[in-house]
Amino acid sequence: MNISKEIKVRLADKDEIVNKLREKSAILIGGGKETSVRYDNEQGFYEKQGKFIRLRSGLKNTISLKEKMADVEEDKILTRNGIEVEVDNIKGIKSILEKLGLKPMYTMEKYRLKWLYNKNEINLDELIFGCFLEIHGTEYEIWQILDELNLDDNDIVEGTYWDIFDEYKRYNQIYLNENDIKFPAGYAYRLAE
Amino acid sequence: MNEIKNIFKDNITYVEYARSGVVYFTEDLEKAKILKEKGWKYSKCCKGIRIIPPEETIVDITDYKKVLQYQNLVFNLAYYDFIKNLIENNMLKGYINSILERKKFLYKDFEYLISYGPILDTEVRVSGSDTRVSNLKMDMVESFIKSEEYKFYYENAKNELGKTKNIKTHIRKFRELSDVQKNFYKEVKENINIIKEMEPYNQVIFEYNNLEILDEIQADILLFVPFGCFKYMSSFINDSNLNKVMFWEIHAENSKESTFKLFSKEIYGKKVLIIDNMYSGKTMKILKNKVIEMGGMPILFGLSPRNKNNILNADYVSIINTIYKTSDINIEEEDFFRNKYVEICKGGDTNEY
Repeated sequence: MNISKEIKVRLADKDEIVNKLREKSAILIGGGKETSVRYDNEQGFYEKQGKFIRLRSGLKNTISLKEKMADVEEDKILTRNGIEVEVDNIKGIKSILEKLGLKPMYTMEKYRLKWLYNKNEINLDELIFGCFLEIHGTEYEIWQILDELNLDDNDIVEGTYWDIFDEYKRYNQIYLNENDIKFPAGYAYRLAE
Repeated sequence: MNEIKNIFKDNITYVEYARSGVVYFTEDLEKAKILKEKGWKYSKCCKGIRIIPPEETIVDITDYKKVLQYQNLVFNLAYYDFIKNLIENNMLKGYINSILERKKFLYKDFEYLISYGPILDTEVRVSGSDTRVSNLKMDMVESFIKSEEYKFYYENAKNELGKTKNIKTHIRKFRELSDVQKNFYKEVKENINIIKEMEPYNQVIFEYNNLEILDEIQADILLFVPFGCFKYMSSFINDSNLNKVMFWEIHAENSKESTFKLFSKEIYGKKVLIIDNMYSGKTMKILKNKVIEMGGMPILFGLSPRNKNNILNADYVSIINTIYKTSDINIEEEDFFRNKYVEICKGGDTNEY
């Protein structure tokens, strides 16, 4: 298991951040639609223990297990202990999980642009409720990148995209019956422009 | 999966446009459907259905859009140098195979082909038996960045380019167009959708830095070749020249069906500016001859030439964001295209790019 740290920043203008990344000589590695499905049993056994099983398809096909760290205070930086493995057969893995009694609980779709900023991975994500920058690295590297990209601390969002979606639903009083984060049919990704 | 792999391997050809590639002909719709699900593209032709596999441009130094694919002109040059060095030392295949070997369980039953040919001096393309060719592209980039050679190539490119110019595109939404242009694109769409359903307006606008050079030609007709022209046409069309636009679909490959015209104009005695992306240059040559037969005066404007022959056969070419009159450029110099890339990209005012 590895400890990973990341931070999410809400973006008002995706062109502005792309220009900043270009100014700082970041490299765009690739991009595309990603679908993540969280698995659990019907009682939400693993989630209650702070463990998250996720099957992801898109830029890479992976299965991951992430867990909240009890001894780490969650603040703006999300810290997780986890492992992620690339897989060649998503359907096969789905069958295994389902035979183990796990079910697909929530689905999240996003359009992701994967950048390399010095040695750090930065993802520019578009979901139905907005665009975000996700910065990975050590705590020091994350704050340094925020500073170099001149990003406002006030735009940092706490929590996962699921947490952000819950807040978005409550605040805007839409998608209230939706647990899944999915693009509507015919949606034109702004990040694909 | 094996069947797809075999179709890929058994249909490698040095296609009519002078580079290696995979082209598969079939009358079997079920096979076509299976291939389509794996990312292959198809079109109807005289032999039934013509199907080509998914393809990725690994690196390019003349095409406006492709030089920006990594959003870093220094990296793009470094990567081009790295890949070209591998090619010159017959090591590109080995490099790719080492990536496939490292992730062999992910690339099981995957076949690829590096597209070679005299028409591809300025870009490197790889086709794959399925959409994993996009994963391969990303794996190749990441492998390069993690390699021991990366620092050498990047520093080299950085020293050569210095502060690079801020070459970019911008978005012009359809709703921002004038009414005249909106009507024009609507009419184009209504007509071409009879042949193929697609959107002729591309909101991504390429900012050529000397577009006025084309105005000096004072062409009577702007002749575009569907369907490839719809990627860049919006960068050339404006309210004052859209009445001069004509479309003529012509193919150099005998297997591709159909030819059609839209907004036909009287060509006799007219200056006809033929605008097309340049690969083999055959399509432009065919159109040039047809314009001459019809009593017109053809002027050839080739976008993103891939080799020196393209330049010899055109009157104007665009390299990245700059348009050149071919009589003004000296193609004899060694590393001509690489030198042009450096000339165009270096000399930025700020370290914006």
